[in-house]
Amino acid sequence: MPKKQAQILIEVIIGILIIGVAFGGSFLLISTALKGQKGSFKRDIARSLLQESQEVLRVLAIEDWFNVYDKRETGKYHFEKNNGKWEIVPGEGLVKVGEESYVRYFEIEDLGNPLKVKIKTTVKWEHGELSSETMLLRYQKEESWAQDDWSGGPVGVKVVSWEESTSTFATSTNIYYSSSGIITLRQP
Amino acid sequence: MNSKKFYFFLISLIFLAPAVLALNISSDPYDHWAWNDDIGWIDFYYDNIEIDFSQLSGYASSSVGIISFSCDETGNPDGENYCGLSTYYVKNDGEGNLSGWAWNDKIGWISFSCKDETGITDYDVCATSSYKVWIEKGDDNKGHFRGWAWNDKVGWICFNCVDIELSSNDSDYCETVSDFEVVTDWIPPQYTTSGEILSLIIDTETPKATLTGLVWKGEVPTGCDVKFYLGSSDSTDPDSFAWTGPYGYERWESHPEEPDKWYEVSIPDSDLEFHNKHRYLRYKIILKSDPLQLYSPKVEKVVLLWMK
Repeated sequence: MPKKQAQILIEVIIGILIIGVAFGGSFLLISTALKGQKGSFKRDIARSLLQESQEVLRVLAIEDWFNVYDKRETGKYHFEKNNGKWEIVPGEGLVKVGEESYVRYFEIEDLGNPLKVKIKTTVKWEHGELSSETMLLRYQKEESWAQDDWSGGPVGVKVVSWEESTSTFATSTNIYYSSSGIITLRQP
Repeated sequence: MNSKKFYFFLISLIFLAPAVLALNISSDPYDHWAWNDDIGWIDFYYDNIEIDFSQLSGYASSSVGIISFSCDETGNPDGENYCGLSTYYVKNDGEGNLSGWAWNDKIGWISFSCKDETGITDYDVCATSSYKVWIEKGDDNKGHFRGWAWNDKVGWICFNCVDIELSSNDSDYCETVSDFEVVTDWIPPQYTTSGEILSLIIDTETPKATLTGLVWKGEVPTGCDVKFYLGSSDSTDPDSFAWTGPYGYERWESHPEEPDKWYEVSIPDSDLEFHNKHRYLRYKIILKSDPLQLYSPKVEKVVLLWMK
């Protein structure tokens, strides 16, 4: 009989071991999954913060292009809300979302063209960092001023408003301008 | 001079003429003759006659022998250079106005402008008779000799029947008597080689304007050119303007109605910085004719563009 009892004991121990391994593995899996979900959540938040940053910059550039353009190649900037309006402030900014803290900033790269700049935005959090680069274009309306008559002749240095038309010009050499609506070379 | 006589003279000259090499005189039967009441027809479709921007060279044929238009060998049938004796030639001022002297052994000097005699005579010849010979562009795009030359022995030499009509009361002379003239492929320039125009100062009324380019309407005949300079400044002082260019142009395909007449001038990215935050704008246009100065570009409208 003692031989049968010992067999039962071994079976129980093996059973406990199997159950232990199974539970341990499940716990490890669940724990890893939870950690991954948390990391992914932070990444999603960071992505949203990047997107928000780009949209705010676009709005500020439309309001006044030079809000953005004049800050190119001058280091890091972030946004702060003041009286309900976004403002661009030097340095890195801290954004709290729930219990988590994120550092957000952007840098403006000069492209040698006053009509566009490149924006590099970065969001950092504990154990993570996300950044993106976008082109920001000047959105101001294009204005124009036209001249289709030079028959008034030369008048030297004179300023005319863009809302006015004129048939005069400053100076000319060898230009025939007397016919309304056209200029050509003068005849010898 | 009636037409029958003219034809007889023409045919006889064809048979008597040496090797004809008139470099840019018309070979059309009526288009290479001048007339003098004493010596009759003078044939310009003869030997090495050429008119260019500076002079008439070669020699013409007449009843008193050849008439030389230049002292050098091109003006003399024997190939001798007589310039050591007298540096005569018929000058073209580049615009088709002829002056100076031709030579014939029998009748002597032939003057192509009353101004030639200034300093030679003791009175103002032009005040008495403002004769001259010139070349004008015809509707056929050829150069037509006009006016009168003078010789002390035989008098006036006429280069175009139209001038006989103008100096007489016979307004049908060319049609009823003789439709003669001297015609050349050389055409006097119709336009100066280049010209430029500078605009007024345009105030955009914003200190943050950025000049971005220009569109314009006009025509650029083959061989002609148009260039643009664009300027901007934050003050009205002309010396403070930053200028970039010269810029060419491209067709402005997107113009809805007249894409073949509109062009655009884009400021390259590298130059835009010069026009940033400048309230005052200007443009300068340079027009250039074709090499023969027969055509000119036309500008009908200029539109400056900027960001406010």
